[in-house]
Amino acid sequence: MNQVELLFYGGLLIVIIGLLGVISRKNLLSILMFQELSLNGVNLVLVAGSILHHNYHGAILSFITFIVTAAEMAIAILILLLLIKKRKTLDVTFYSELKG
Amino acid sequence: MLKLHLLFCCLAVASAVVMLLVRHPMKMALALVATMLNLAIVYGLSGAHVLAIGQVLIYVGAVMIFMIYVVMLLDIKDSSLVRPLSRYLFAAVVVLLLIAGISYHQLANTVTTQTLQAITPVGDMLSFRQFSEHFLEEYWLHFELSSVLLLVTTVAAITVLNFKKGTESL
Amino acid sequence: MSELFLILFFPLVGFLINGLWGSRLQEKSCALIGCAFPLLSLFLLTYKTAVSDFYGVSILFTWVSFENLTIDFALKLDHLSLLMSFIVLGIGSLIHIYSTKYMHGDQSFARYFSYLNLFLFFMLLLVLANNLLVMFIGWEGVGLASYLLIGFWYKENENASSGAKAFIVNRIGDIGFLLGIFILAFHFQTINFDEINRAASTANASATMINLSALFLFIGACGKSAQLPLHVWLPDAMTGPTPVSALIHAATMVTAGIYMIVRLHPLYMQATAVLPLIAVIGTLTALLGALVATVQSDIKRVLAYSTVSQLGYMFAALGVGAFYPAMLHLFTHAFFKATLFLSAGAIIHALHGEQDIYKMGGLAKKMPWNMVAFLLGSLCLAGVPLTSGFISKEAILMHTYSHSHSYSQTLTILLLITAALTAFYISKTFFLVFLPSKNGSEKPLHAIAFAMSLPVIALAILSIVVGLFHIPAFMENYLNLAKSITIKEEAHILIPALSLSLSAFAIAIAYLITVKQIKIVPKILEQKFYFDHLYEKVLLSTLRAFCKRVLATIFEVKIIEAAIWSMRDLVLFSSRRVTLLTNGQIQWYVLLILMALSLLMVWWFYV
Repeated sequence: MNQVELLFYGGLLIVIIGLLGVISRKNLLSILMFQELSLNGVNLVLVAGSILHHNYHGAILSFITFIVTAAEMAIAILILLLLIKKRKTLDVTFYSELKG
Repeated sequence: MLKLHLLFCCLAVASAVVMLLVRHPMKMALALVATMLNLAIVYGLSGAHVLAIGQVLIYVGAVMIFMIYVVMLLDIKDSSLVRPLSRYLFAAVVVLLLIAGISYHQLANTVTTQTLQAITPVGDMLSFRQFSEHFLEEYWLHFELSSVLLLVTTVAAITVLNFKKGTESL
Repeated sequence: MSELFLILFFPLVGFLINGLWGSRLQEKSCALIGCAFPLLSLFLLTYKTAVSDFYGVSILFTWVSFENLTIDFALKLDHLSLLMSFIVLGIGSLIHIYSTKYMHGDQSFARYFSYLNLFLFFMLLLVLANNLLVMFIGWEGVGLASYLLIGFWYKENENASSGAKAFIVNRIGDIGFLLGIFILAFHFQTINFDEINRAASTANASATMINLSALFLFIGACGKSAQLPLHVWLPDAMTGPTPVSALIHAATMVTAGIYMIVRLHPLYMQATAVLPLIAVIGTLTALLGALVATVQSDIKRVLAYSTVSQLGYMFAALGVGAFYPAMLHLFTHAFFKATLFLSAGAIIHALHGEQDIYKMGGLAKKMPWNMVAFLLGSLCLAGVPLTSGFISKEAILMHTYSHSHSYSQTLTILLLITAALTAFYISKTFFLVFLPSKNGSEKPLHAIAFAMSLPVIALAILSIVVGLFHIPAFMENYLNLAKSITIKEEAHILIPALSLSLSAFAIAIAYLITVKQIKIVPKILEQKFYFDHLYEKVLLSTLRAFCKRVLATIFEVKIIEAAIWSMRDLVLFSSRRVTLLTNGQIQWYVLLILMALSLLMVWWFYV
């Protein structure tokens, strides 16, 4: 296995772990953190692709993903705060207005 | 060189697995920080210095600090601490195993054949100088748009927090 | 050849016009339309046969076409069907004219004529059919028309249930008819009359199949032509208007069974196991009908049982292989029975609806021409010499006597007794109705319109004329049916002598009973041999109990309602399960997305 393969498989693994965490945890903050993890995995895959194809596009896209992720995280925490203002629980099973 | 790559990659994956196993969100956040740092080292070893620095500065330094603050200040003890796992765990494992398996299989087919030829070393393609040049040449529009995005985010935050006198703060 | 279809469909047009718009038309217009179309058909038929060689087969379209079975919607005009068509259209038209005055003032005048035209259409279809399936359409159709007309005044429960009884008993026979068709279709790969007859005459046709199909078709004929034990509907059918009884239950519909068997007579000649059965049932029916008719007090019931009895005669003739005498008797019976029914109708009409012969009397002076008509009809029925009835009955008796089987002598004796009884009851009826008696009412009679009297007279004259002018001999050659019996030498003298003496004796007894008032009435005859009683006890009460206890409780509740409720439960159950997909949990939705993604990946990469 060479470097590129390693980075690809590693990135894939991190993405999968992140998705697993998103689905299987009940705490809202945990879900957000696993989402972050997943995005990090994606960044790793992008870098691996950049190395594989020997150009810079993957890396630059990864950088832009940083920015977007940061902004998104800010908004996500904000929404979370608004949510728990009412319900006072971080348990995601109580938030089921989409039912039916 | 590869051994270092392998080591820190494995460390990153291990931290991610630790994240899955712990219960308290604070411990989870710290594990996430560990993952991100390891990933930054991996980027650095691969020659993407900008990304390594960016990862540490933006992700660890801003995003994760923010997360840790939130976890600390929202010290809510509810049912999600007692039973941290939702009931979709098993189904998720099955489905994700399937996706992982298929992705691995396809990656192995494409990547392996492609890398049978020698990979040209990255050199300084992703170093500061090259990176910045290409970034601000080709991706200038993306840069500007992302700044607009950050502006929108700021406005949203202020609206929600509602800085007015006499009103109930968050 | 397509004029044949015109002749067939004219009455149907009359049915549609009267049926759809008749209630808005005046009585006169309905009557005009109702009578015009059958008359048109009759004239067209007469003209075409007189002018050109109209015989042959006309096909309208090919209906069924399998690899080894083809059925066309085809009509066939040959001597036999032409004769039957003349009977149907001729007597039918006369009865239509009669009905215009008989049903005058009835509030469903148009409906009556539309039903009558419908009946004519189906009867013509039956008679002109070229294969069993087209005949079966007509068969069922006349059953339907009969039901509609018997229960014409359906507001009385009794009339409606008589109609239902007729239809249901007919239906039982129809099962046999259908089975016969199936066996024939299966074995001979055809249901065309000519082809069946040809195939049955060849040596390699299977005797079992022929006998079976003949048996089943005969069961159908029993239902339609009121033979034992499916005869129970005919007396109750008298609740319909009298012209209906005349047309359907005397002249045309009930003869359909006989016509069918005569059509297939080569097949029946080969069905040697079934023919004795037909003969026996025919004879027993004849005897039973005559016995029960002797004790009836309703004039229409007398005539109804008389019809049953005469049909039994015809079947007895068929059973011994005397196909031409059966057809001849059918022909003559149509005329004189229609005469009797129509004149009975005139009597009923005149007496304002009185039908009990014991309450009639002395009509000879008040309705002289009617008396003459009834007298002529009675003489034909009794088989008095010089009438057509005499010739046909003697023909049947001679053939039965000359038949070579051991039982045929017994049958002949029974038929002779029946002849005597026939003479007895019809003369008794005549004496009671027309001769002066103290029971007769002195009310003034309702006037009889010319339109009513004319058909009666016409039919009476025809019933005599047919006998007088050697028409039977001409008909025999004309019809050209197979002959299997040579009449014995002594039969020519013995049979007429016996029957005449017995009839004279019977008439004398009738005279004694009616005029001199001696009474002997056994109960079993009055209860019509307990047939209805038996049916009620054995069949109907068990059916009713079954329905009430089993069907209404178990079947209805457990099975049908269970099925309906379980369908509702199934829908509710599945919809509840489906709504589980939308439980509002975001993680579940993410999981669903990933599931879809995985399936998509599997399909994309590996399928």
